[in-house]
Amino acid sequence: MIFEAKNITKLYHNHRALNDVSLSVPEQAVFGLLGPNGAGKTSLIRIINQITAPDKGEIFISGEKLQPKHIQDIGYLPEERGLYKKMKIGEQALYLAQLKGMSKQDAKAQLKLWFDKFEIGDWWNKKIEELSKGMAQKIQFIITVLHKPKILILDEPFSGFDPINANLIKDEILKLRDEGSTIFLSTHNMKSVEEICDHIALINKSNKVLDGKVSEIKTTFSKNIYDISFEGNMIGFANALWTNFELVDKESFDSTNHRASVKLNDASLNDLLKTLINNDIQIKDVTEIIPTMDDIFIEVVNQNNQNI
Amino acid sequence: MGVTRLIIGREYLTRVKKRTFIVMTILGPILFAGFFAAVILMSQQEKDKYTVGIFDATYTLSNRMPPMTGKIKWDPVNATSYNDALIKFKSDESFEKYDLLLYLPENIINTERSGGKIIYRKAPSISIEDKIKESVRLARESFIISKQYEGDSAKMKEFRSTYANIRSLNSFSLIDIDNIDEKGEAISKNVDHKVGAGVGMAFSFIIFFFIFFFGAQVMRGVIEEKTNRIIEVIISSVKPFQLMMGKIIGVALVGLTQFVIWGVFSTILINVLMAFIMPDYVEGDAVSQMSQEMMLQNANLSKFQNDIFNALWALPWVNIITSFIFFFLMGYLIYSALFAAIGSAVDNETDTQQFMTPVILPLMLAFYVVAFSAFKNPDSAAMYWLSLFPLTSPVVMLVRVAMGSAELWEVLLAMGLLIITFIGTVWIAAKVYRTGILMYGKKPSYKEIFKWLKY
Repeated sequence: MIFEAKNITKLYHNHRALNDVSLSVPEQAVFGLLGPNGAGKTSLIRIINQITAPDKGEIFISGEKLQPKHIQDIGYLPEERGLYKKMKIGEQALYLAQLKGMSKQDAKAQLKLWFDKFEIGDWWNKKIEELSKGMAQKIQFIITVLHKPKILILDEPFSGFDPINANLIKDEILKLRDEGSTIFLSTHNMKSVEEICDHIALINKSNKVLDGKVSEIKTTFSKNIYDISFEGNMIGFANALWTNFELVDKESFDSTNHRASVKLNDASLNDLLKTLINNDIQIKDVTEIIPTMDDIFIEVVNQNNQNI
Repeated sequence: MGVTRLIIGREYLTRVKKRTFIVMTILGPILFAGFFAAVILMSQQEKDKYTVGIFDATYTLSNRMPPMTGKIKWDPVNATSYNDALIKFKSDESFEKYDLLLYLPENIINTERSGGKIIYRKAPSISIEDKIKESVRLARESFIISKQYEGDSAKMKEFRSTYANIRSLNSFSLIDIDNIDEKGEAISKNVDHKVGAGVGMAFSFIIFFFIFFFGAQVMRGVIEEKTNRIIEVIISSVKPFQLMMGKIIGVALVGLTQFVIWGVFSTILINVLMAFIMPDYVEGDAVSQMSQEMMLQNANLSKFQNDIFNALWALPWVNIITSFIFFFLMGYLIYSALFAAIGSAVDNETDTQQFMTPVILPLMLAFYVVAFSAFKNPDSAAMYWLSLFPLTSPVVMLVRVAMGSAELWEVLLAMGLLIITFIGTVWIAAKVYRTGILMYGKKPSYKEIFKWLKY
């Protein structure tokens, strides 16, 4: 495990921002840190960045207790971000890279590579105030990853980007993972979670309420419902089902083409297919309905809120 | 230390490269020198022609007074004694033509402290006064030399040609002439005292303005980083304390740079202007060759200037410079830490008012007390107590040190209090700062800021 948090508790004046939160993140994962606004994500991120210290609990990076030298191993793109408006882009990128412990020459060489990659080599002497928001975001992303951090913490990295640039950034994130970085992705954009996260943790009201591999979580939350498209008539289809099958949704496209969603109680998909075939129903297509991260997020958070 | 140096470097360079800094650095000395020149020019507004009545108890010097084309006309008065001349100068119609009355006592030949006097109805300008004194001095010298060599023109010529001799003569030829008004009261020209107060005031105003302008720059810098939202990126790389101190030190260096440039440029400009405004003391070529040489020697060093230089020289400079550096640094550090804390607590500059007022108040108080009582009432209770109180001592103590009125233990006590205050202030400011920079939204109350101290 490259990252481990053990029983982190953070208290602010009469407010508990994090309550006994433990996490472990394997190397080269894209780890989604999810949760509603105000759940405690930013508090956790600030603790990892050593901006604040936890009141209880410990954090380990590659088995070592978190300490000031780890600042160099972490790259952080905060949600509320910005740069010096009146400073030249090249100069402030160099400055921020040096604050992370890079040498000037090294930072310059790396910057040149990134500027070439993003085809913005002529921006060096521009000021941030001369750039559009999206352009500034690009610079900010480069600054975050410039020192090749082992751990990359990205808070809403896609906000402010058009779809083309969002894709560009997404590809870069995956490339960085392939090159060895571990990425924390904090976002409300569940589509991007589905696309690039392999692990997630869900924090709600200061507590961790869910974590694990995305694929496993999805299986756990799947409702055993299948979408079946068929030819024939809907009444015949409904009559063919017995108690172990529950018709939860149906739709008719015309008199012969239909779709039905069937939930399996105590029966397998084969049982259902056998029954339908025996009843002469012409099956066109069968798909399992897999819950989206959106669904899981809402379900878990609502359930959790009711329990409290 | 490495990152702090980086921060100091950025804070310094971005400010020094700004156009406003460059413009201010160039304009400052021009404005200052212009102001200085205007003051000099106004003080030079004087009568075209002065008639100076001379009551010469030696009966020799008045003939030897070097002629002054235009400005000054010498005229031996008709009086039986100095008192007679004085009474006539006050009331007699025949004396009304005299703007000034010059009294040369008998012993003026033999001694420098002779009690010679310039009596006036309306005080002459410094340059007129200087010209009169200079003329008396020259007349006296020319008399002494001619008497010494008893008309041996060859010897006299030889004497004049030797620079070293002129120098040696020079050294005993200063004479002392009091300025008194027509009532016969000497004008107290306590140069030493005034120069001390002036120097002290100059230093305390430098400290005051430095704290004010550059403290505010620290605050603006903090607000800028907060509203830019770059702050979170930076403090994920460095400690908030390093960022705060780096900013404070970087801005201090900017200020010092500006002051040094101003100092050098102003000095040069003022010297150039002076050369234009006050070209020469002697007009006309009827002055003897000897006198001309003497004049050239002394053109830059009139009696008044001499007094000032002597007074300046006599000031406790070691004390002044050491105290200046100490009080200057401590004052700036304490106030800029407070300004940084204020900047961190707010989202924009308009919200700073509420917090600025209590911080600026002691500073303004110190400034006014110094401005109004340094010359008139330097030993007042206000000066005394404010020179010890740590939030005002950086501005006030310097005046007392320069005037030599502060006891050593008082200075040490003020320094000790400043050090304690400095540690306390930076500790508090750092706590407020590291919480404040991450707080957005509504303006915090004092109560909330107090809570931050406990985080």
